[in-house]
Amino acid sequence: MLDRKNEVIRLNNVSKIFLTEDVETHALSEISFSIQAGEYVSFSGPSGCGKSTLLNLLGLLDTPSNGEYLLNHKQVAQLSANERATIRNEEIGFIFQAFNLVGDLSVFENVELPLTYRDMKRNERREKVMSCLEKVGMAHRVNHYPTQLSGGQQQRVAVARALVGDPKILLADEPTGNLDTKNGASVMSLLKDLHEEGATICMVTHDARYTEHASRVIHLLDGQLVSPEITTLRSTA
Amino acid sequence: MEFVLQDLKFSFRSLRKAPLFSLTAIFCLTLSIGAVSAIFSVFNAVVLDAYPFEDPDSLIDIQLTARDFNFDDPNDFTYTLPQRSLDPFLDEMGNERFTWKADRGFAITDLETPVSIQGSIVSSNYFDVVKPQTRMGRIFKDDDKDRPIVILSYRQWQTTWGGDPDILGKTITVDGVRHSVVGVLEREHRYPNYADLWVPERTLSDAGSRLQSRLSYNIITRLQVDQSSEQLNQELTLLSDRLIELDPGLFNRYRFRGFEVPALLARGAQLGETLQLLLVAVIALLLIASANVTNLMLSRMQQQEQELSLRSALGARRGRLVRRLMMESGLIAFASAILGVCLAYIILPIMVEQAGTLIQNPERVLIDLNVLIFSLFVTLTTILFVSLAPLIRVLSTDLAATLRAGGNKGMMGGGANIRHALVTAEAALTFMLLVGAGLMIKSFDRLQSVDMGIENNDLQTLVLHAPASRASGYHETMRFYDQIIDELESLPGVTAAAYTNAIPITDRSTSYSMSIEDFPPENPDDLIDPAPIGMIASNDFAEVLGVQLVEGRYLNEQDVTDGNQVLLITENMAKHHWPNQSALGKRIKRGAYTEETFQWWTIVGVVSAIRTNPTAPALHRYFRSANQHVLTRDYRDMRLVIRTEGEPRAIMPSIRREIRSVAANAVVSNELTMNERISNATRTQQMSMQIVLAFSLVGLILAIAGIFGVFSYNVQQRFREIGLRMVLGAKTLSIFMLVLKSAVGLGVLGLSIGLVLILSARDYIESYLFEVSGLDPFVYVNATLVLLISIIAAACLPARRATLTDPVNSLRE
Repeated sequence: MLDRKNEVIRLNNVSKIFLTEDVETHALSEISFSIQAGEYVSFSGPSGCGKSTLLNLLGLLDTPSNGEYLLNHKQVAQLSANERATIRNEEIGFIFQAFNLVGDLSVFENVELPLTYRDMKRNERREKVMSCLEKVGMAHRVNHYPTQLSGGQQQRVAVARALVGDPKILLADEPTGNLDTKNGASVMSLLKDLHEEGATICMVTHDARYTEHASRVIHLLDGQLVSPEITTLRSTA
Repeated sequence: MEFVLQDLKFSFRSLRKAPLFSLTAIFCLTLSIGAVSAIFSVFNAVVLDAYPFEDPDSLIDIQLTARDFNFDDPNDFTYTLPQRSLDPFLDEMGNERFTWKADRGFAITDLETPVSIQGSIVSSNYFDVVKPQTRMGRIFKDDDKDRPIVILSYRQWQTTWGGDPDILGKTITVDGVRHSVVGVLEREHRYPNYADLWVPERTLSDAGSRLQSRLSYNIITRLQVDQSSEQLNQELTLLSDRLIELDPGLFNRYRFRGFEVPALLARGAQLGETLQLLLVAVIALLLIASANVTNLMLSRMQQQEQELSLRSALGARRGRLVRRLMMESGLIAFASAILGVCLAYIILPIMVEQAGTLIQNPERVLIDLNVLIFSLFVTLTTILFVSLAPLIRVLSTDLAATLRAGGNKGMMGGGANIRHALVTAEAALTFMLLVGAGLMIKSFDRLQSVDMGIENNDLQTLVLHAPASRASGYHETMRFYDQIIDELESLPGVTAAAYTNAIPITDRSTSYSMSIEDFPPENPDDLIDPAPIGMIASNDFAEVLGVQLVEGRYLNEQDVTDGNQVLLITENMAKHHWPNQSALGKRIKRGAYTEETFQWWTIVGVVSAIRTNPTAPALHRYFRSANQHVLTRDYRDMRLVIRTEGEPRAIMPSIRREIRSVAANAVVSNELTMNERISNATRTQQMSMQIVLAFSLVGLILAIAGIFGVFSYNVQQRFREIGLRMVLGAKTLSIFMLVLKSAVGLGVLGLSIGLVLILSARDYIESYLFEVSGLDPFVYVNATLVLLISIIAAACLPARRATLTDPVNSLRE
């Protein structure tokens, strides 16, 4: 039995419809589920099934066409762009397949970036950035630029950037998609450690090896949840 | 060759496919090449090729100067030669090498409307020395000196006789004497002093020694082979020394001095220097436009990188790629050059009209071969300039890597540093232009508010040439002018009128050697210094002019009736000679202290000082009644000042009518209000202010366009980065400010560089200013605000566009 009080995410009958010229594309249809604090959820399914769209909705990068989305028990579907930006900045951390580090910024500055959108003193920012970089093992590369790092190192920096704002939820979209096996495993291990420390993680991945790290796997097909019975529940170690 | 043509074809096609880029680039360059060509045309005519004679540097104009004359001091005057110095000169030096001319106005009275033309009486070998080219007919010959013949300038032939092809042999009435036209000079030839008509000596009604004694002369010669002007001047000094015995009053103080004509004409001419400043300004404009085009080309090259990479992969060598790039910039530059020259062709007449009398040879201001060569040079330089940055990028980019990356540079926009440097340079140059324009506006404003010492509103001036029938002698001529004044004063709308030999503002004035009774000199030939300007006028001239009476009284009719030899002097002259006492009752006289030819005159009034033009200090002046003081020359061309009720121009038709009713053959010319005269005196400053202001506004527009373009491109390039920032929680305002800060940062950097540059050129800039510091804080603050507000305005749209970035789409790409 799931504890409603402990829910961080709840989706009720959420749909997302894209309108392109005369065609209506139902990217997501009537999706309902919830995620508890501290859960490690993996979304799986074939390409085009709506995983990334769902992650965008969860990350408040997009708004649902229908249905309601409660984040920390608050309706967020109708929030303004600035209110959603504040929530993204303070409650959500993003990890992308393509790392998305800013080439002109150093490792330190990339990690510091989310904090620059808050009223936070320089010293405090520095402390948090260094702490996160140490956590991901990149503290020795603070002055390097993304082009001077390997893919695995870049993703570690991206993870540090996702963590630096102390988000309630980490959203990872194919975090190992651009990495070789060794670096992929290393990043997944990092996420596992974070989960064990209590982080709530929502991850989209194709790789069956990495779904195993999740405590729950939500399967999607053609924009719909595959019957809830198939949703895999795992023990949280 | 085939490949060159192929590249040319591809380049043309490629430009046609990018009309916005092509038209914007052509627009920017056309504006600047047009402006450069127009300014250079004037510069070429006024400074570089102002003297259309054979070997102008060997042409020497001989005048009188003080013995301690300093060429570099504009207040050290040169004097034309009185008859008493011309004759001994020619006696000693001979007529073969030396020729002479005497400038004066001539009335042409057999036209529907009589006109006054500035011309010269010349000796018959004059043109043999000056060597002009004739458009038609001939120049004067040795035996022409007594013949009533005339040579016309091209300009006068065109304006007064409509370019009549049958003008040769026709007779025209010059100062009441029928003269036959024997020649028309080529378009360019109007020197010296831009005469429009030449007559040989002794052909006029008042010919002979009587005429000659009233004239003042320039002696013209050519330097001999291997003779320098210094050697000639040594010769002239020796001659002057020899003549002391003959005429100690003159040659103790003065000596003959020869000047190279180009140097003499350039002396004190502000226009040449002003044009240099304008050339600097227009080059700044060209650089701004070029920076814009470079930025456009860089952006375009970014888009073409994939194509260039593909060409490279297919075997194109770097040289080929470079050529391809140069072809595009070349096509743009040449299209701009053609349009720019057309633009110059359109704006030149406007500039010439604006410059008015500043350009004394407007017919030489044209798009000639020199201008075309210069425009071509500017175009080629521009091609190199705008192609340099893209070329460096092509040569330094790993094109294979670009190809592998599919042209996707991720979040690292290439060439950003170059683009930012160019925007910074644009901001620096625009700031300099804005400061320059601001300083000039302020300087001009100061000039306008200078107290000239007269009441310049509601005051009409004109030159009235007395007809021969009313000018049989000096006093009869003055009676004619008195009659004219009486008639004019009876006209409705005229409150007062007066006449004078020279209007203080813009007219050439004559200074007279004088002595003061209170200060007997140790050397009997010593004279007071500085020599005052003599204003020979009707009694109430000073009053009509609005010159304030400081003490004593104005001149009046009673002085003439009683035969009192009296005069007014200006306050600055009074204070200079009698610093701690009143000048009233003091006596001064013309010539040396002991010279008995002249009488002592008593000062009966002191009036406020009058400036010749707003930039020059007021000269010492005195006013004498024309009915007491006999002028020896130019008295047939008196200046009238007419005080009116309201707008003087409105009453000019009735003034002209009234003058004609007194003498149908009287020639009225130079009809100018006093305000127009003052405006003419500041025309150089006005013109340079207007042009620099126009350049700075065009520069500002180009800079705004450049900043807008760069930041639009920048936002496009940073699409993913901006999306990412939004994902990470950046609010709309943060994104807006991100772009804005970046633009303002570059603007501030450019502004700082501009500030350093303009401060380092402070002395140069101040030399063009009047009573305004090159550091004027008001101007700097305003230029800063204008630039920063413009930069913010230019960056607002790209910044707004950045806030509309869809983070999902941006990260998906």
